[in-house]
Amino acid sequence: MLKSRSVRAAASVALCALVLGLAACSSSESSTSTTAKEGKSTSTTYPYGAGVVDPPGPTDVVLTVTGPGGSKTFTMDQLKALGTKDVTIDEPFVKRRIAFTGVPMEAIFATVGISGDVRVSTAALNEYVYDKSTAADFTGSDGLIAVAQEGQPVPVDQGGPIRIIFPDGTPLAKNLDAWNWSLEKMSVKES
Amino acid sequence: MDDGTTGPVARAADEDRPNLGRLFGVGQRVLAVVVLVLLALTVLQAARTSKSSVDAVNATTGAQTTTGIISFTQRESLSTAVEVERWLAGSASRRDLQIARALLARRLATVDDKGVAAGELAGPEFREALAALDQAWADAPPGVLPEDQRLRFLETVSPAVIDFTERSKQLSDRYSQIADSVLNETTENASYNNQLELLLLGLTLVTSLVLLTWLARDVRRKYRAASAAIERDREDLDAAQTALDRAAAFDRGEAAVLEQIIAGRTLTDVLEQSVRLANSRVEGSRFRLVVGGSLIDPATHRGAVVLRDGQLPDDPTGAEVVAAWDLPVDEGVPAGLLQLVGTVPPEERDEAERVGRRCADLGAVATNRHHAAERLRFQATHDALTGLVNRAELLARVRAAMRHDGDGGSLAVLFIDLDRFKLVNDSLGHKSGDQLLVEVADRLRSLVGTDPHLTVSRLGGDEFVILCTRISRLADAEAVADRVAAALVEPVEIDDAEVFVNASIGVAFATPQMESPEQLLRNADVAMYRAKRAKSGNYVVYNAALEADVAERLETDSALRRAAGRDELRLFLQPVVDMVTLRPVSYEALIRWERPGHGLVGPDDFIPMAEETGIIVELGDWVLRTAVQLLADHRARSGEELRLAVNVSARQLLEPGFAYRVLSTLFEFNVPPSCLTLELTESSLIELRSSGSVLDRLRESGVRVAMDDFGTGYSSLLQLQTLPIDVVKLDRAFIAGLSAEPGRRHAVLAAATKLVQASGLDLVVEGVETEYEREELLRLDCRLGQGFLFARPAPADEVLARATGTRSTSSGATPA
Repeated sequence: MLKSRSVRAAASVALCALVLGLAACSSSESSTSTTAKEGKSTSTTYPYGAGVVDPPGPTDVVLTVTGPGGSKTFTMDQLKALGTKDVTIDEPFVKRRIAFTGVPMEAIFATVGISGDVRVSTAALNEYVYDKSTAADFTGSDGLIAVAQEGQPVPVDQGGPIRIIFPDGTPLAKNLDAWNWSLEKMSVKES
Repeated sequence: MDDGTTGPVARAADEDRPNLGRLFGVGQRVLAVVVLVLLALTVLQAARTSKSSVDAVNATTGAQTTTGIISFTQRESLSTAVEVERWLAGSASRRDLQIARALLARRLATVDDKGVAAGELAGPEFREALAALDQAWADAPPGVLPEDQRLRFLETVSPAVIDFTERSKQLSDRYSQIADSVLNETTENASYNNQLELLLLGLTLVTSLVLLTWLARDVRRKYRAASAAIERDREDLDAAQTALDRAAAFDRGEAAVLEQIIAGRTLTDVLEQSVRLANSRVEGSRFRLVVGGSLIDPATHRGAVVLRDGQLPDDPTGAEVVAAWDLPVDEGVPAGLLQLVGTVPPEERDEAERVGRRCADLGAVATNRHHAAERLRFQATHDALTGLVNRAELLARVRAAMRHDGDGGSLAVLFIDLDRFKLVNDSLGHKSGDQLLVEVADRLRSLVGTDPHLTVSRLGGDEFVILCTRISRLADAEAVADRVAAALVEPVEIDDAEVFVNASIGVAFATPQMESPEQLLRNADVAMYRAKRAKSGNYVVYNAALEADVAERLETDSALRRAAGRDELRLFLQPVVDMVTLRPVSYEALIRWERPGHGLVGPDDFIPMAEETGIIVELGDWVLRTAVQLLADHRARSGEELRLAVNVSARQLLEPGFAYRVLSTLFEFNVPPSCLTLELTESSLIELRSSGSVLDRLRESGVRVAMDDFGTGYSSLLQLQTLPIDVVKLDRAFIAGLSAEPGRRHAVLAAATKLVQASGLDLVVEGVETEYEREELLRLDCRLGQGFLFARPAPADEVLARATGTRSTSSGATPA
């Protein structure tokens, strides 16, 4: 009897140690997440800009789209004329909530007959190219070409003048490579 | 198994027995739960560890990794530097440069998965170099750099570009540095997780080990307890087995005793065996049995010891009686008592109680069976009604006695037959007949008393036999016969009526030549029959001459049975005359038997036998029918009405439908009933009092009834008024001695005639033989008489022819 009692005591000690250990784990986790939040709050400004880039003039072409229906160029106004949509999303690169005004990619694709499973190649001003997704992927994720941010033209140092964005929760929203900013051209990728 | 013997043992075992049904204690269950929780946590931790590596991978898709940002930053930086150089060379506009710089700014503003901006990650040296470069071309003119200003910008911008390019290149080091730190962090994280996992695993293992050890120890302890319990159970079972073996041995002994009971061993033997059996089962004491005033104690005596006054003697060993059992009651009386004497060890008490009870039962079975057998034997050898020895037993005793013939005496049997028993049986009913037999049996029994040489038996019906052994003289047997006759003189009272039962006794002696007991009985029977026929005396001793008599009797009987069919019966008539005018007023019809080789036989020689054998009924019918026919013929011939009297025996009157037969015969021949008189003897009338209704019915129809032979029976004169009669015929005994001693006889005769006349009955005097008698009777106002003085009985034709005054033409018969 005595022996069994001591064993029982040992067991309860082990149990206590276990519980304490688990508590320690969870507390270290919470401290980590706290630092992450602080980091986010510090990067609310854009301290790395240098001067202003001249915004495109009314006649300046901001986007060139090439598809089966030929090649088409758009000025800012021409783009907006295709119809715009306002969305507020979690911008993943600066991790802030930002309201955008954008033209649905579907409308733009339609002007040159891009649709379905054709791969679309997007190219930025700095020649960054993303061509891993199809037209259907973009339209399926309600892809937009943002033309304004918080009601203002999008500065180039914030991805302007135009950029590809995706509403929260859509499939391509998590694929950061697809968020091509300072977009210049879109075309059907030659296979 | 008996609960009383094993119950306490079983209960004790239960208390010692561990609770085997519950395998795990509370502590063990708690510990098991802990082990399970630990296991679950270990698995959870393992999942967490693998998830953190997955998270690392996810970071590249869901958010930018730090290293990715740096490499992008380096690329954009170098692009910017190239654009600066192109601008310096005049191949790019200020706008191109601005765009490149803006894109770098854009890049620097992006944050990694931890929210740190690329600009921060690039480090202060980089930022300073970038600021210096920005400063160098801050006042650049719009458009392409003009040729004239190139030199000026070249001086300031070139070193800045070179420095910036250098810093940008150094981002690779930064990249490696950060990649290393990330790797370290991941490794650290992983090792922390692994350590935690290991700790949990270790804890789980230790706890499991503790639990297993604990369980193993418990299982071992419980196994030992269970084995001990099983061992105890086995011991209990062994004890039970021993008890059962003992019980079985007792059962076998009991069966053996029962077999002996069935086999019919003597009661004492069987009881002694039961007691021996009981003694063999219980140690340290012994049983003894008291049955029917005897002690059976095989330990001290063989067989049964008869107790004086039923008192048990002190035990020779001085042992005390410690227990006793009644032998179960047999017909209300306990068959006996089984006692246990001595001392019984406590552990043997249950067994002793059980054995004692069963031994007592066994003894009861033996005694009950013995008594039953005795009863059966008694029933087989005795008459159920009277309790006397029956025929079979009598024959056996006679046979035994004949075998020992000559042991100081001879052997005789008295054959006793009750007279008129059949009449009693027929008239008063079987129940009364049985009462009579029982009374007779009692009288005979008390007559014999306890004499061992006399045995009373009932052969059946009204036949009794007394067997006398060690008879030395004929006179001894005669003395017994006299005593029997005397014992039966007193009337027997049955249903408030007195019945007289005279007995006829035949005595026969055994002779050395005699072959069987049946022969001796038959001889006595023959003698008895002779006694019955003899008018005087109650007994006859058998002799050889009686044999011939028996033969004759048998012959007579068969001849008589054929007589009516062979037309051997004749009807004679004797007139009853008016003693003044001497003219016949009526006739008595009398039967005669014209037996070939014997001549004309009178009724005295065959009527008594006919009464016994029952032929009397047929003879009576013949007489009645012939008489009525005679009346009819006579009337037809002469036109006169004749009066006839016929004798009727009691036996006839008891025949069912007698009255109807009489009346229908009269009707058949158209004869008025008043012409017919039925004569019955006084004794018959007395016996037939209960049959009065038959006579009443006949008298109502006009048939007259006469009492024949008045004065010979036992009826009192006063009874005349109550009997169903019209005529009294005075027996000749009243007038027989009239001339010899006139005084007294005359008075008696006068009294009798006066009484009859006073009763309003007709009086006929029989046996008038002298003129003196006629005159005396006339003086007493007796007008009607019958006797030789007037006419002897003669054939009917002859008598009637004479009466009508015409000569009979028939040959006729000679007078008796």
